[in-house]
Amino acid sequence: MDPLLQAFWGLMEPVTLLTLFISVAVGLVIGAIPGLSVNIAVALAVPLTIFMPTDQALVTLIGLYGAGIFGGSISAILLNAPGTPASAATIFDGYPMAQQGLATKALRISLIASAFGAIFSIILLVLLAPQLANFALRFGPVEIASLLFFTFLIIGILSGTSLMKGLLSGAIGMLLATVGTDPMLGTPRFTFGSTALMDGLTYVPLLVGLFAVAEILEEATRRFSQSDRKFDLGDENAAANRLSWTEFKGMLVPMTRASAIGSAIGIMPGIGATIASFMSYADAKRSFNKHDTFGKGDPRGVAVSESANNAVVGATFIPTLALGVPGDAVTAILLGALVLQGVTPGPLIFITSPDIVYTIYFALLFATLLMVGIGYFAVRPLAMTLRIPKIYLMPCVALVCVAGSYVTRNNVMDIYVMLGAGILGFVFNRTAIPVAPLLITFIITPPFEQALRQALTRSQGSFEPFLTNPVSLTLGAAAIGLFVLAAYRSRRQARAQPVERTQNP
Amino acid sequence: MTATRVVALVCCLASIYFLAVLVPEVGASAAAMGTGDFYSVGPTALPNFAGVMTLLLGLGVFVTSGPVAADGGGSPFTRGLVPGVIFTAMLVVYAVAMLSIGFLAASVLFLAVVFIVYRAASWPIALVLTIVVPVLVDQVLRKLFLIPLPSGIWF
Repeated sequence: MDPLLQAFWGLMEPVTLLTLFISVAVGLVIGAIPGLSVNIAVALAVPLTIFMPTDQALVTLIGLYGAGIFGGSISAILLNAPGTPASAATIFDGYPMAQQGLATKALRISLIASAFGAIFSIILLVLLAPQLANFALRFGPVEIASLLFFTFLIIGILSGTSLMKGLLSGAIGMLLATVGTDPMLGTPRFTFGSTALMDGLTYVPLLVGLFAVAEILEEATRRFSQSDRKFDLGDENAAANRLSWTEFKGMLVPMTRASAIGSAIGIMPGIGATIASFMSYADAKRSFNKHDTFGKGDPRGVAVSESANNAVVGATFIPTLALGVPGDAVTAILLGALVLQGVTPGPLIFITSPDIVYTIYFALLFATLLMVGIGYFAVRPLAMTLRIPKIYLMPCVALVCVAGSYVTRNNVMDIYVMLGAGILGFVFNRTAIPVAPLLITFIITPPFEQALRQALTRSQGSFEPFLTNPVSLTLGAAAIGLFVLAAYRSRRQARAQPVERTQNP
Repeated sequence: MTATRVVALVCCLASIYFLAVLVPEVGASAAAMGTGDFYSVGPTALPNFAGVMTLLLGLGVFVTSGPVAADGGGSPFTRGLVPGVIFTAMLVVYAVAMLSIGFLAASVLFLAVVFIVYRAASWPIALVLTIVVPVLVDQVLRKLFLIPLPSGIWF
């Protein structure tokens, strides 16, 4: 059967459709609740997807991812606190709109903009990923090693506010990935005599710890306290909350620009939806703020932020599918989940498993359409989820984390890995060291090591192939350029801070 | 000394131990195996690279982070640390207890203790969740996904 039809009919199975529906609904709820991010939702779902068929596993994770990004805008608009970091920029105009009695309108704009951005990036994914994969098929060990090392540098450089901290996080991820068995000789490495570590640190407990447990520990430091601010959507004027065709037309150009920015950022590894939404907001403010309405409840402010962060979703799959390089932390989780399913993302996936590729395309599209359908009618019930007290929610999520980590291999070592990763993630969050580079580097280190050692074995230990290969040289030049730019910006920020302190005593 | 500097220092010390003790052990066992006349890149290449990167970047973070916390006031790292440490300890005890007394019993006790220590506002809701959530998770994993969780003496 044609892979496109095979993927389509696979998705039309009642069980798969039901799974997609449930995952979109759960993603909306979890994304809405501050303290539970998309990363946590996807991380907690991974242990369950191990036991599912591949297409069902994919729709679960993609449904959670896409819907969770939109779900974050609900608390951003109603509580002035983003449900997920990607919706932070939505606060600037979303919350003022809620204060003016236009919360329902803001939520509807957010929904439409999210769908717009998601479909924009899905189209880009369908057009670009096969072309990039075609190009990458010619890659040998030198090119692969260069690309993965470039990824390590770029996610370290572009994640977080500090260049050094981002790279340190990546280096630690690389170090942790060397635990286990040497991939070429089969000898144990840093296992301390434990058979449980022969397969290395397990990916699922590591990611559950870094994202979910770290966040729960942070909430525990606040004694699981709750924000009191709430808006009752039932009290709003229905006529004022309708979105007119004129208003929608006025948002089309900003949304298109924001979707393009979000997609471009989504393609670059390590940057993510949060920066995409801030950059798009800043761009829209520069370009469309003639009457100084941004930041005071301008609907376009909500639209650009949500278009951009959802545009990242499809675009992050471009490097993930075509090169096997995750575009952000969530696609890193998805990449790991695919590997657990026995599917290796990379250029060959378009040849060996085209049905998986089409399943991903359809899952992204159907998840977006379901998100619009459920989100439009379920805005008020979703708003009610914000009232769930964290004192009840977070300990239950912690219980699920422990169970989810254990079931991967039925091994107690995994629970200790989860706890250790949770403490590490908490410490990193408190010291502004980004966590995403650690996870992404942890995932890309095994193929990086394999490619590097193959390349060096061929060249008898000489690095000359890396210094003469055009792909390697191009990536090296790009990395140096980004490093210089990031270092320059860091120094400018460091110089600006003492000036601000003297001006604002 | 800020928390960032402490983390950087710990990373540096850990990477020094890693490079000085752990990596040579791997190298020694690989050398004992031997590779004959065939040239190959050994199992210590990437660990050495990662260890050196961690050491250098740890030093870089130590030097660039500055001696005083950016906010100038009380350290944000220690904010609310005691309740956080208590919760971490509860998680550790829960993980150990799960293997001894089973998932259900350990989960019920864990939730009960958390709700008591962190003072859940409504006791009826806390009681319902303490019983329902562990049973629900256990049944979903056991019946739907066919994944057994540790059993205790009674359940």
